[in-house]
Amino acid sequence: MNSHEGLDCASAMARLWDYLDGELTPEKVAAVREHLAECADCLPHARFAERFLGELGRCKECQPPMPGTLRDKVMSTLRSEGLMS
Amino acid sequence: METVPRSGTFTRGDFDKEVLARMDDVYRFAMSLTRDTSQAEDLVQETYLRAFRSWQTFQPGSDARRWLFTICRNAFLRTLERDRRNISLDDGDPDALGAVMLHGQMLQDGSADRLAKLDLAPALADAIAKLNEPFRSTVILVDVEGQAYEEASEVLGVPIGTVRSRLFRGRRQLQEMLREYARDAGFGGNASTGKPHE
Repeated sequence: MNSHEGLDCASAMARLWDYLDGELTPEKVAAVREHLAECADCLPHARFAERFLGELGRCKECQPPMPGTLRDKVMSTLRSEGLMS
Repeated sequence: METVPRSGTFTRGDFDKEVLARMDDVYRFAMSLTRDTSQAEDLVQETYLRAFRSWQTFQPGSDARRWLFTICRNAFLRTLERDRRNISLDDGDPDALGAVMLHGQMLQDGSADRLAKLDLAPALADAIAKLNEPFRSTVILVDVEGQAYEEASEVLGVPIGTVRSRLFRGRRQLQEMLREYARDAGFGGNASTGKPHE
């Protein structure tokens, strides 16, 4: 475990998901970024986590599209319930 | 029902156009919740019935997709209650370090190197379908649909800390499944060497 600018590896990695999700304050972002720039131990974990999240974001493309008939079914139901003209 | 005054320019026609344009997103979210085409279609229908019945509660200018996801999620939970099925509410503690430790093991057994050469998205799509609630819907909202923690907490009706906890645990489970995926494909270091895991 290494320590850079007061942020050790455990602390940096405990913030990794929040860091990659954009949920940290600017000060904490800077601290994690500085740690990753200087720590050869943590950088591979961060790179893998970053790719993992990127691939998860692509899962939307892997899902089957909405059946073409569903939109008509919904519209028909809304009309039969008097919710659409 | 609490109603929100209509703005001068926002009409019922605008509402129809706004929410109907989101049906593909709602279907995808419904599929992630139900994991069944027929149930997802029923859930989309129920979501739009509820949305149109309470259209006055929609805040003009707000995120229609988030509003519809919330309705969809609530309708799904009502279905579960009706079916007398239980949802685990045991969230546990955030597991941010768990993923790092797991990746360390993957580096040691060779599966990380092999996974680096594979297209992970199809494997992850299968893995998401295997996640149990409440982790699946949390991962779908944040990681697939790109919602912020706060937005997901509104849709799911839980505190942000619970979203984080569920998210981190869900990601950890997904990474475990990726590791298995590498092993099953014969890519893991142990699969090729026969050596036990460290």
